[in-house]
Parts: sequence; structure tokens; C-alpha cells
Amino acid sequence: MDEDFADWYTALRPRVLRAVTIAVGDRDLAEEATAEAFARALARWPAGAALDSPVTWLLKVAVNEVRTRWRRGRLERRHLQRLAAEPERHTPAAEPRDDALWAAVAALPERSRQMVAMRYVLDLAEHEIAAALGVTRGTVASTLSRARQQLATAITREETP
Amino acid sequence: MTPFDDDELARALARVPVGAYAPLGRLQGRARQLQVRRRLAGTGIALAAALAVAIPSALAFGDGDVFTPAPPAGGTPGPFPTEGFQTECPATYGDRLDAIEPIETLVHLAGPDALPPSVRLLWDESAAPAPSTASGTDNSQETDAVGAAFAMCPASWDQSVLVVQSADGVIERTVHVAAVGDQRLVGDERRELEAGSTRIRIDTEIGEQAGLLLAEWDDAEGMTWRLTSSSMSDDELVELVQTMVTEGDEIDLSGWSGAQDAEQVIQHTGAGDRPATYVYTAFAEQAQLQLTVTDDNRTRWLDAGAGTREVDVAGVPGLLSEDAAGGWTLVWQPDPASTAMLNGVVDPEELLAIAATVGRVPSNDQRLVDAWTPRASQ
Repeated sequence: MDEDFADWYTALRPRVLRAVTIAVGDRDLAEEATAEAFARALARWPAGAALDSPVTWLLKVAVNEVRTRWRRGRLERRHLQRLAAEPERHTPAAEPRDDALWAAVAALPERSRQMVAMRYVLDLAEHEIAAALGVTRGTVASTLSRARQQLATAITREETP
Repeated sequence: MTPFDDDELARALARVPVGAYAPLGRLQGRARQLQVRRRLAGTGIALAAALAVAIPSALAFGDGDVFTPAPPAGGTPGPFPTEGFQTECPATYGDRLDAIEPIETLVHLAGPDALPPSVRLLWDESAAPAPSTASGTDNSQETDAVGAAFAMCPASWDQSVLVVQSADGVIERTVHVAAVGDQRLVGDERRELEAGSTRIRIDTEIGEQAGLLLAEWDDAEGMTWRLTSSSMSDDELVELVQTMVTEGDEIDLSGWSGAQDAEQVIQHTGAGDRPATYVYTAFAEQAQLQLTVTDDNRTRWLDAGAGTREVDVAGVPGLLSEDAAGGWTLVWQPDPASTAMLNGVVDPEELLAIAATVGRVPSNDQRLVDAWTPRASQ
């Protein structure tokens, strides 16, 4: 059973890790969340192998893991800071990134990043993305169009001396 | 500006560097952990079923051979009482939330009229400048989704206890212990202690940064326990872990010498319960004054640390703490259904005076309407 999973993991992890990285906009969090998603699949193995679209499932679990960790981490930090009598003040700090495209990806809204990852890394069609995220196909199309425009601007800036 | 075509963007994204793959062994270890948690939930079902059969049988035959569950051993929780047919009933709210498939539930409120009156509070306009920004969120969909997903399960447990030691109205130490399920905070940056067969993991990163002791350990049932304290020696920590006993969903620390002189021992602190449904913040930039109001049921004592003072806020008990940035934070419950936290870089007496004016305001309060900044949903 574990051998089957090992093959499955080896085959899927490049696409899934890249998709999660694009979707969450943070490489470290993506590493952790991707590992957690695959571990959850292994805990339920072989059900994972029977999924229609395992990469979509893994991406959604990983994104949710990041969201939960971020929210819980924020609450825990707030509690620890309160205990240490150091209040949380407006502190959302983004990681500095050298690469313009990466910075532009990380700056996209979460939902846009997720759609970009599904479309351009997992190669899902717009209607498949719409079904996976529970939105209309028109929403997917317009969100992707805006995202392409923003990313193109970033690349142009990067290439302009 | 010409947007990318699809192939061009796919190629560009394929060049974005990514992190490393987790080794298979790590995934297997984590998967085993998840499976153990599920099996334990199953054990809960089996014990509940055994009790359901054994107790009526004993009563019917009257032979005195009554099934009596063994008292829990030190540090070992009683099994979470699971009935019904659902195969997975995680004991904690956090684990239940994790068990749900990806959900998106946080709603940023469009205006102050969406806040319940008990949360929509503000200081009097004579006490401080009007807020420059204000916002609020509604997380009720999360609670609803968790409730619906585990409708066949008993309510989740908030197995937590807070020990408060104080003298003359000044807190000297707090010790908080809670069952956290799979929600671990202590990572690789840690040192370890042994308490009998139990290995205690002590965080050396975020806990120390906050000037706190943050420790976690796993009991024989697979539950992770977390301790947070403003100060504690290694010997005290080991003694606590070895003497801690659970009775149902309560944690008994009476065997721990550190609890003997406690001013307060508060069970069910709310730390492991659902998060707040509504969170509302008003911030006056000019005065560096921030008011946050929530409707969660956490005890305000969770916000106390060494040096925190017990104060009176317009007839209601409050807790006043100095922060590292030179400001003060005041926590109190103006209403049984809401907890308020007022923070500002002002004299503590002035902060108390402002807090005394905090009260409910109508949804059309012009200061709130003008300052409201609804954010797009994430």
C-alpha cells in the first residue's frame, strides 16, 4: 500500500507543490501545507487514489490548511502577545521578494492566486475551476483576466531596465 | 499593456522557484498520527456503547457487579464521550474545523449595522477623538459548518484550566493548561524534558520571544496538551505534568504544589472553544487608541500576565496590563455577551477614564459610519 502511495506522491508532488506555492504566495507555508495534504491523503489511503481529481483535492486541502494555520497562528500570537502585555498593532508584513513575478503573484488576492494555480499549473479548464471553487465560470474568466493583466505589468517592469 | 497569453504565463510560472518536497517518512509519521486520532474517536464510541449496555444490565440483575470505569490516571484524559453512529468525533473544536473540507467562512461586514448591539461599542465623543478606521467580521458560517458536519457528535470539549496567582490585586503568575488535539505550536526550535514516560516539548522560539513558557506534551491517549505560563521552573513543569488528573472534561491540578496558593482556578477558559463569531475594531490613529470587541466566551483572565492589575471599569472588574511598547491594555466585559479590549499609548488612568465611557452606540453612529472600512473578502 505504501509503495502505491510512494509512486502516487512522486508523480503528483511537483505539480501540487508548485500549485500550492502559487496559491498561497509563500514558499515555506506551501511546503508545510503540501506535506500536510499528502499526509492526510495517506491517512485515508487508498481513498485518495480513487479521487477524480486528486491534485485539485490536494490543493484545496493545502490552501485550507494554510488558512486555518494562519488564522489560528494569528489568534495564538495575539493571545501570547496579550499575556506578554505586548498588544498586536497593525502588523501584516509581507515577505520581501526579489523576483517581480513572484512578488506580483504573492500580491494577488487569495482567490486569484488559487485560480491562477489551478489554471496555469494544474491546467484545469475554467469550468473545472468554477466547479471546484463553487463560483460561476464568468467569475473565473474575469478573475483570471485581471490576474493576467497584473502579472504582465509585473513582468514588463522586471524586463524594463 | 498586453496581458500574457496562456502558454506564456504557464511557462513563466513554471520558472518560479518552489520549496522542498517532504520526505516520505515524515508523511508516514504524520499519517499514523492522524490515524491514531481517528481510532481513538472510535474507542470513544466503543466505551459509550459498553456503558450503555453494562449499566442497565447491572441495574436489571441487581447483583452488585456494576461496571465502573477506572479513574483516569495522572495526565490521562477520560475518553471523549462519543455516542451515535458518526465514525469521527474529534474532541476539540480546532480538530473538528480541520476535519472539514476546505471552507471559506469569514465575512467582512459591510457596515456597523451588521454588528450585534452588544458588540457595537464605542467610547463617548467627549472622551477621545473619533475613530479613523473601523471594521468587523462575522465568522458564524464557520461555527454553523462545524456544527452541521458533527451534528451526530456530542458538543466538543473545552478542556482547559487557568491558575491565577496574585497578591494585593496584582497578578504574579498565570498558568494555563489546555487539551489542543492536533493543534501543535511547538516546532523544531525546542528543548525537551522528561516527566516519567512523558516527553515535554518546550518552545524556544515564539514562547521565549513573548517572554513566556510554552510547552506541549502528548498523553497516552494521543491528546496533545499545551501549557502557557508567565514563568515556571522545569521542576514545577515536570511536577504539574505528573500530578495532573482529568475528571470528565475538567482538569484537576490540586495535586500540583504550584496551585496550592492560587487566587483563582478557572475551568473551561474558552481557549479551546469556538472563536468569536463577531470581531469588531475601532482605531483612532490620532490618539493611538484601539478598541476591539468580541463575542467569544473566553475568560478575561486569559489576558492576564505577571504584573497585570485588577481594576474597576465603571463598576465592572477589568484587567490592566502595561505593554512592551509603552502603552496599556485594558480588558473587561461590559456585557456578559461581549469582551472589550482597549489599548492606547496613554496614561493608565486616562485609559480607564476612556473605558468608563465605552458603551453601545446605534448603527447609524456617524463616527462609526464615517470610519467604517469594509474589506474585500479574502
